[in-house]
Amino acid sequence: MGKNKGNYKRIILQEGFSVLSLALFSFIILEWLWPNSVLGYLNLNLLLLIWLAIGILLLVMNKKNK
Amino acid sequence: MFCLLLSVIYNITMKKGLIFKVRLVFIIIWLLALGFFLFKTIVPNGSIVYKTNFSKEHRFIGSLTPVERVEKMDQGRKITGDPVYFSLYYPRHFEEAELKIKYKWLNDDKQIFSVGMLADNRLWQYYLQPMENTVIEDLLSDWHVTQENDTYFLQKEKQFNSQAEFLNSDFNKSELALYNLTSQEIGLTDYVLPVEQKEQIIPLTLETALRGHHQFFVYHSKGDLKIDLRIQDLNQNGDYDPVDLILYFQDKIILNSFLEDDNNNTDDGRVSSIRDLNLQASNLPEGLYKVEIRVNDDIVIKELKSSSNYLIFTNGIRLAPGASNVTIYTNRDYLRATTVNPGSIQEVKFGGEVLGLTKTYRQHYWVLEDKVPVWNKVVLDKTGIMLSNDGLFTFNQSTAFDPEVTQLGIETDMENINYIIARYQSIRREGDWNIAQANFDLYRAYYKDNKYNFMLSIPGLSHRSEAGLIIDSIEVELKGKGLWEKIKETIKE
Repeated sequence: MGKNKGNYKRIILQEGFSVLSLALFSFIILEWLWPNSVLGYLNLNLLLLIWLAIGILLLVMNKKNK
Repeated sequence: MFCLLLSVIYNITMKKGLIFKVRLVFIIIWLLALGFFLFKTIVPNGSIVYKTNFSKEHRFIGSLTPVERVEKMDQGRKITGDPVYFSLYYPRHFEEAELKIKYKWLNDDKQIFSVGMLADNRLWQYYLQPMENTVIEDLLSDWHVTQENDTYFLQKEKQFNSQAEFLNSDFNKSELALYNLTSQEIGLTDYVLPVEQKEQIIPLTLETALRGHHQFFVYHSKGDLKIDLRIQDLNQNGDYDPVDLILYFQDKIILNSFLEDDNNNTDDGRVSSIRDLNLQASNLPEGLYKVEIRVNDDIVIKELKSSSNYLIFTNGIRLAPGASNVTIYTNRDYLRATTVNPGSIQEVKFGGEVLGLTKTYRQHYWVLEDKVPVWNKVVLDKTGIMLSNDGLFTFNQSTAFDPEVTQLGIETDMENINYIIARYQSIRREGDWNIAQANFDLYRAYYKDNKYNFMLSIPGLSHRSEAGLIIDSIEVELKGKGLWEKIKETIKE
């Protein structure tokens, strides 16, 4: 049960990280093409921090699993 | 159909594993966010609203500047000086901007509050629209009011049933005041100089040097109408400095004459040689003509010659340094004076009073205590000063004339005014707060880097201590063509 829970977490974080990477990339492109189109509504710094935190968490989890 | 599609997607999803489901949820969130940003950028419905209450930095409505004239408040911002500027970022082009401002006055009961949109960056010209005129707001409840579309007609005592009836009558022009309207716009285009004055029309040579943009009325009776300028480029700023001399009749351009820059777009301070620019028109009907010398501050008008000495400057006059003992007359009992030249600091005689022009780069504001409806004399020991008010200026009192109907301002003497015609939108009240709005045609706006520039104008606010305007919020609605309309237009083309 505990192992399954940990597995779910890892899947969610892994998928979240992938889609967040894609989102960050697309938002930066959008902001580059049309300034203020993203930054006018969303703080990309915050999104970048979340992305970084998830990435570090995934690295830590992978290391523990090994 | 939609439900069927949803149920098919649901069945497929349920058969898939956890990774697929989680990925699908995240991708949907990402696509929704992407769609939201694209929607806000393209604005397919053709209308978008931006609103700021100054609690945090707004990415579209810029902060109010300069900071010296703006104080932070718990709720909103307090404006203590005039004017104050802000910019508006737009994601794509629109046709109209509707500006709404929620505000209240602080220790001030008589004010004119306008918003301007930057129309010409080179000449720093703003297209002004009224927000609140407290004189009109008070009179709306005290005087007899009739309204036609966006125009109010106010009468001290009810004499006429409508504005049209009044304008068709033989009314006395000195009893009428206009606000946000010109004489031409209400059909008063027939200014005629009295015969005895017409007989005195002779050519004029003005040798007192002027600096920068000016406009004046000139009364033309017969022969050719001629305006000759001798100009010099100071090259103190790095801008392109052409000279455009424009002749208007009944608010329409009928002729212009253009002189290119002296090929020095630098700020090296090398003064150009004196060059001539002439404007000549034949077979013009007798009447009042307006001339605009559209130049920036780098241009000095060394000499101005006109075929008629009945020539009168409007709104202000800027005298280039170098002359002494200059006398000017204005038909207003208040005056704003500014100098950027330390050598021009002096005592100015205005009306019967002696007033101190004590600091450079500061607007001095003087109101005469004895209000008399005559031309007030301004005596200057030295030039290098900019004088302005909403009235007229002349160098010669004997040829002074006033072709304009009085424009209603806070300094207007209401004793002699019995009628007001105003293009005005009354403010709305919400508790202690006032809400005023103005519309701007964005085709007239100057823009750079996807930004429009606006100005909040409250003339004279800087000179009233303790007075201020507290702005709670600024809301701008941008309106233009929707995506569907644009597609239809493209297909038609």
